[in-house]
Amino acid sequence: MRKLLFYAIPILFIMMTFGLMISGSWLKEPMREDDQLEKFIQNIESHVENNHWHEAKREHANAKTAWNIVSKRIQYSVERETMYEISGLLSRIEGSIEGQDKNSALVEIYYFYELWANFS
Amino acid sequence: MNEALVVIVRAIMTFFTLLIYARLIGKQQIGNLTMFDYINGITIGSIAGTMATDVSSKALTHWIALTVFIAFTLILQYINIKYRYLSKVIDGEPVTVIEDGKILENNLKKTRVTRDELMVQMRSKNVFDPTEVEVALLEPDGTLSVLRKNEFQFVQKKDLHIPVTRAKLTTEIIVDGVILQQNIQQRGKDLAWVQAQLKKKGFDNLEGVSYAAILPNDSLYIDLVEDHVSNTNDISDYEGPY
Repeated sequence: MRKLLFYAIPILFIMMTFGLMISGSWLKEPMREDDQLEKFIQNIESHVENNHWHEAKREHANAKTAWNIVSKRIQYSVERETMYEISGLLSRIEGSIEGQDKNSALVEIYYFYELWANFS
Repeated sequence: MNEALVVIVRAIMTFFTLLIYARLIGKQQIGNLTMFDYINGITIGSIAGTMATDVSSKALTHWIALTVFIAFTLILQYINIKYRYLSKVIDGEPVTVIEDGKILENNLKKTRVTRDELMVQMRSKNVFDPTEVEVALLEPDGTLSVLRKNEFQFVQKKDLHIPVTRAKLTTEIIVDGVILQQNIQQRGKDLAWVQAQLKKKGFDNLEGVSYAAILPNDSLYIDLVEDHVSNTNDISDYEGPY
């Protein structure tokens, strides 16, 4: 039993550590209703394209809540710089919605898609 | 996003990963450090430090680098054991720096060791006169091995025909008041023998015994929790605290 634990504990620890470090790619995926960040951003895109600024603002609030939830899950495995970048992006999208600047909002939204696709 | 929490988790991951990897490398690294082992150790430590604290990059990147370094260290260890020639290519060979009392300047130059450094190493081996030396070798780990000429070698018990007994280790049998049964059996004794010895020294039980061991001459050494020593050998100059 002692010998088994002697080998099992380190192997288990290494596996858990490795699992935690690569967990970003699946922990970023939605797990409940209010953490569907990508879906909220897609909704913002369609509202912005149709000039529905009020709805876009509402979806942005949802996106911000979703990001708060997701960021707590993925913070152990991803680069902090990229997390700051996403936080900054959300703020810039918010500014573009406030200013009703369709072009600027779309630029930021498409940058988000690119960042999110490679985020893990 | 809590940076402190991330650092705590990453530090725990790094600490135990290093502990496991250090056990994998084994004991070779401690006693026998060549220049490469030394630099390798520093690099591994540096990668581990970055893995724990540099939250701007992924822990995985550093973990992979750490694992690759450890894997290559293990591969080199395997090569050293399995292939003697490659082992010499990697670690180098011992170099003769003194022969028959003469310093071999050319070999010294090849190893980039100065005469002063050589003398320091000799003195640390208690050799103050190079003419006493038959051969001195500079080992791959940088230490000097010295063989004195026959006329300057120490007299051994064997030379004087003094009868000797087989050398033994000191075996711990009580640590912090706890008896180590396995060790008592290893020395061919039993609990009754220990109790008899304790009684002989004036102890009825283990209370107050911090440490006890069977010495090479089969007698029992006992150290008490309370030492009752005088301050005659106290080398402090001030009362302190420091």
